[in-house]
Amino acid sequence: MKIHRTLLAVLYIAGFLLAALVAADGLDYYITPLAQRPHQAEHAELKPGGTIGHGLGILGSSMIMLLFLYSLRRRNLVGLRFGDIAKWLDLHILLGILGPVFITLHTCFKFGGIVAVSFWSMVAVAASGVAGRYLYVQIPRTISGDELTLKEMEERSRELGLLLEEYGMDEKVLAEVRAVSGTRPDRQRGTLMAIPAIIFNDLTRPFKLYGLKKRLRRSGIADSTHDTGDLMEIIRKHSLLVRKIRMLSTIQRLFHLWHVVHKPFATVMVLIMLVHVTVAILFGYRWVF
Amino acid sequence: MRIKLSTGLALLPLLTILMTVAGAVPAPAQISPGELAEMHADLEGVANCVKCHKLGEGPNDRLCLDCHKEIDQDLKDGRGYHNRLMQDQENACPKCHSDHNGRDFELVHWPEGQERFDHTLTGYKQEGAHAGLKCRQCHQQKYIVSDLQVLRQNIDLDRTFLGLGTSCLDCHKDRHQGQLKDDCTRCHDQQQWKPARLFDHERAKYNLTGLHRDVACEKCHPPLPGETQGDEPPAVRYTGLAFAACADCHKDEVHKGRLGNRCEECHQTAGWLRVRERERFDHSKTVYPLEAKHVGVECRKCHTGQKYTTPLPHGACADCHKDTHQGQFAKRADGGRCESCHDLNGFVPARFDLAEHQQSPYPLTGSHTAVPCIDCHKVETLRGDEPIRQFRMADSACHDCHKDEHRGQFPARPGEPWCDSCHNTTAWKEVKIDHSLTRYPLEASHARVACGKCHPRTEQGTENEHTLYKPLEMTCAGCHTDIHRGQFAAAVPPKDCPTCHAPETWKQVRFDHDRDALFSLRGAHERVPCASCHTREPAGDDGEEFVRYRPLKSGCADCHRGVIDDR
Repeated sequence: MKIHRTLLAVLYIAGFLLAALVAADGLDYYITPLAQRPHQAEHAELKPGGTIGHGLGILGSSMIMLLFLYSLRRRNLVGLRFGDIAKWLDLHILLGILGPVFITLHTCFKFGGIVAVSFWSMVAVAASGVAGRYLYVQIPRTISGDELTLKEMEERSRELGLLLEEYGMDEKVLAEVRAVSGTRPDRQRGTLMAIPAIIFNDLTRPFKLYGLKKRLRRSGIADSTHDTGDLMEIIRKHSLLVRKIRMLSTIQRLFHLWHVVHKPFATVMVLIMLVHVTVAILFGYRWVF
Repeated sequence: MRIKLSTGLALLPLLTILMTVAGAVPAPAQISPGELAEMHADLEGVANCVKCHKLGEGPNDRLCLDCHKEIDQDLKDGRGYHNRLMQDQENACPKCHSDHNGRDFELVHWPEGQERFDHTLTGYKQEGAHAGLKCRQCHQQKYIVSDLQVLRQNIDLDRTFLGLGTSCLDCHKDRHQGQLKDDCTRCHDQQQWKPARLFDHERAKYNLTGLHRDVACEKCHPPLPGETQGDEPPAVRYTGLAFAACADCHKDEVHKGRLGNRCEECHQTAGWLRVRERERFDHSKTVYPLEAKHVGVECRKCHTGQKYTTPLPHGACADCHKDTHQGQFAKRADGGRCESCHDLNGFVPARFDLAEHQQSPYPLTGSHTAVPCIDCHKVETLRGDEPIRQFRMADSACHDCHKDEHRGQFPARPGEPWCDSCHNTTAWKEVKIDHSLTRYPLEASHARVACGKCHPRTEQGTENEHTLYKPLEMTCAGCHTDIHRGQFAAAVPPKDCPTCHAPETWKQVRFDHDRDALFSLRGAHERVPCASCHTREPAGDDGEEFVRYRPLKSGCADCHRGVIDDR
């Protein structure tokens, strides 16, 4: 797992570093109005068909095509049955982040024609990917990425509650801990409206935990002799798990809806990209080949 | 709900695509990477891609040139800016004229502005006054010489920079009205039209030399006939001018044609009066033909004035030449005319020869005929301060020339010949002396005696050494030694040598004992040898013996002792 994370970090750093270098080198070019760019010296390299620009396009589009391996792995297609789903997802996300970055540099921030549909679809896919990742983590999973069942979640929640009780918390204090999870069980919302509630809860949780920590100290439950950090981590996990259990069905619906958005945009993106690549090759743009 | 929402969300990207294809993005730009520039706007649309792009290759110069025929023509003709840029490049057009950069994109871009364009790249370097011109001062429709509109009908002649020629006359009016070739830069630089600083008259058919260089152009190059426009000066005639002969421009007001029309044979452009050296001038056509040495004399030796045509006195040599003889011959019958002795071949040698000298008051004879003239006619100062060679001799005596070897022993006697009494002009030593005319005529053996016997060299070893001729002792004793030891000089009267001795020879004695002596020989005495009476006596101081002639005793006993004693 550690190797996987290290490798991911290296790839992210390398990718962003490369993108940053290109962006820094071509900053003047990229901020130049479109009509003036062809007159700049960097145009020959940085234009979409230029030595660097075209390379970025090929790199970005290749990464985008590769990220579909995740879909194949998830469906156990073409023999892709190895590796944890979570790791494949990490790779999928990595390619889904860096690919659009390189594609964006390839476009030189010039968006026109039918290929712009592909670009904006790519943006939509990437953006939805971020949302999807957010929804993804709202569903508790095993370390290999498999979803926990509700029963497993509740067992885990109970274990955390017992740990809290070991700290001498009474029901009143535990109620405060549960309040940190935000969503009350008796409150019914629309599926889409749950999203801002979740986001709000995630944004306000650190403040709530901070307030709870001060109260626990005043009440003597948490003091300098105890490991307050461990206690607060247990409280955070417990409250988050409680929130996820409460929102599980809503999140699962949202996640399904997310797929409905994510996949068609990806399909549009790829189709138009293939058209774009075909046209480019047809008109003689073969990069260095 | 679940199905509806999923379906709705799934339609979102499809709707986006439809909107895009249907019109949210202009139809022609669906594949295009961007709008074409305004000038290419009519090429928008998928169907037009291949008008500029060659499938599988991309933008193609050939396709560009199919429309831009004016450029294509320049490339074919190997001229112009595009030709220079595209010579070694493939698909060069898009490198400068990329498109799909938007409607407002400038297909013709001037990186540093039009006015700072390096015009050298076009093959026409802007120099001089051209360097300061604005683009549109030249790039105007009226200066376009190419048939651009024939090549491309929609070309905007007010905007294009094509079609100009590089010949001066493509833009400038021919101020010479076609007289000269169209290579204006042979004479004019690009700094300014006038003066034509590159013009070099040496390259013209008529080379300017001498004073012609200073003549104002218009003196020879008159204005061409015809009207001028505004303040424009009239065109000038540069060709068709007659210049073969000087008379084409100059009038012969001096010679009136007398010397022909080939002025240049005498005159030169350095100055009318600076006539060439005479090898070109036929002086024989003048009243004074040059002959002999006069031919080589520099003109200015005689023609000292400004003009050669100024009459010069030439009747006599002295009109030009100085009389180096200072009038020595003025009194001659011919008045001292130079040509009597000299001719034009040179002052020396004089033509005066020996025959003429023989007609002079001093005819040359003997060795004198071989004596160089200057040995007698020396340079002396007789008149004035200037030494001259003397020809009028004050005297013609020998000593005027010769040294008196006799050291004044024979002073001249007025009216009488002198040296020539003995010498002639043939040879000094060939002496002709008539000793009989002297006070001492030579007789008998005296005539055979070498002169030097009597005339010895005297004062030998000194500067004054000479042969002594006078005074000389003319007595016998002056020359001869008296072997009689003065016996006869002491006689009374004294008896001189000739009394007894004849001049023929010493020993030829003409002594007559009966006549000349006191003792007459008679009888037996006639037979007595002389030496019996005249005995030899011992020598004197000089050690020589001598014969005693007197005084002798004349008594008998003086000789006949014992036989007769008449005591």
